[in-house]
Amino acid sequence: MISKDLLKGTLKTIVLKLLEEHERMYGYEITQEVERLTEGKVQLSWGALYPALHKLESDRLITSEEESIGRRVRKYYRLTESGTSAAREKIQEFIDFVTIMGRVLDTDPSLNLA
Amino acid sequence: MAELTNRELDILSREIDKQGLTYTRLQKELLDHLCCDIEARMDEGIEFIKALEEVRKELENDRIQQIQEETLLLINQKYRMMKKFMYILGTVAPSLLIVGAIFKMMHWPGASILITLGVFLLAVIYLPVFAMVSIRDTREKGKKVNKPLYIIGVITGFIFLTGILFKIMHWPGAGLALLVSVLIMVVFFIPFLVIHALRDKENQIQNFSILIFILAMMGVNIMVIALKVSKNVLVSMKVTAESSMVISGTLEASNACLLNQTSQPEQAGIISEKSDALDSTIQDIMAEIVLLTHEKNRSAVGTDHSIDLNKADYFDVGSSVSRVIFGDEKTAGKGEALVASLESYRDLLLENVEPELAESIDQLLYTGPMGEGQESWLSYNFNQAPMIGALNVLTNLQVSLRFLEGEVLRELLTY
Repeated sequence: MISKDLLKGTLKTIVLKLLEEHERMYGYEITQEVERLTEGKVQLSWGALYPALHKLESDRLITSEEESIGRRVRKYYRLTESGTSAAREKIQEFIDFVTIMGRVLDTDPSLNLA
Repeated sequence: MAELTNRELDILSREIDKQGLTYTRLQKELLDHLCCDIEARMDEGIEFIKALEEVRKELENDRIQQIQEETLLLINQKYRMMKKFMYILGTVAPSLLIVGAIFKMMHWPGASILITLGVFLLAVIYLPVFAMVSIRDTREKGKKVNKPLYIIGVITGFIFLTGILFKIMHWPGAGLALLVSVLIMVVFFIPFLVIHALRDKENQIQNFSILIFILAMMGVNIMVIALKVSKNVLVSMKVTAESSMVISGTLEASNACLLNQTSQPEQAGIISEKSDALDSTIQDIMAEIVLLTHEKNRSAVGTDHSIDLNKADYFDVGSSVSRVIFGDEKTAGKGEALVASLESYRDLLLENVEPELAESIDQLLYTGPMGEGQESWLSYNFNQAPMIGALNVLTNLQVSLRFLEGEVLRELLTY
């Protein structure tokens, strides 16, 4: 399991990256996708996810649309135009960070994230 | 894919309601999440009730509320407005204060309004808004908020700023407010702040500078309280001026008796006349200073320009002194003329006396350079002098001239 502290700073990047790849996603779907991609090593708690989603929405990086599923309402999120460029920036920033950290921590030099 | 029945959905809906969510957009979303979660578990062959229990276990007690709090914290528009408002106010209020201070220095009208408004904005609006914003910022970072520190801080700051305002505006109660704010600072605020600063390792530099700033403010506060001492000085000056007035009045009366007994009425008459003239010149200057100091001093000055200091106030104001003595753009000062009359009066006395008395005359009616810097007599005595200080110098001159008049008249008697 990856610690919460490490995850906290990258949560927005993860969300933006996923939304870049999928046209639209809802909260539960995002947690499942992250779990699938990381083979269960990263489990997003909804306590972390929803505040982040709402924050991204209020920053106008993503928009949402509600859809009725029977008696339930499902809220889908998608990237806005500024969200798309923000996603690219954040992802690049994170790749740079990991590369640098890799050097600092002297891990396998063949590490290639790009 | 399992699908929840309406009944099961109601149960989950109540589960969410129980948590006391008020933000409906989040409520619907969390319900959907919960449903998906349970449906996924049911797909693995777990019964609804069991799945619900599992999910419940995962959600610690007030977890959902916390999500709401954090979400609202992140997106709250009001909070953002507040922060913006705080920045604007933080620029405007000190600017008002500085402009007001400049106005006050230049004796331009409107200084009081600017200063009052500046302090009011700082104390009543900026401080509480700053505390609210700061509390939310701390929460957003996921740290515990030291609420007592903020509450005491806002109260102390409020009392302190009010005290300063009262002091500047000469309103009653300033001393008490400042004293109370120092007491609260020493007894509560500073200990709290020190403890807080020691615990909060992340913001040590910030906390340290706040502490230093607070201590400096406290120094200023104590100094302002110490200004009360100068109030005592003002009172003693007032007492001296009052007794000088009585003495010069008494001497004037006894000099009138001497005049009747003199063997050289012509010479004595000239001296008496000149003395009266100089005395009333000085009295006029004093009356003008008192009147110019403040409108409320009108009742302190009689039609004959006699002054009742018990009816006067604003003893510490100096603007009227400089206007009367040194003049301003519109009117010439009366200081130079006063010095000239003092000098001619001195010369007149010196013509008529024995050398022993001449020394006293030179000393008491001295108008040459004074002090270490060899300042002119006028600026040494009146530059930046408070009203009561100027009155003190002037009434003393009256006493001196009446005393010397008496001495000279007495000498004329013995011839």
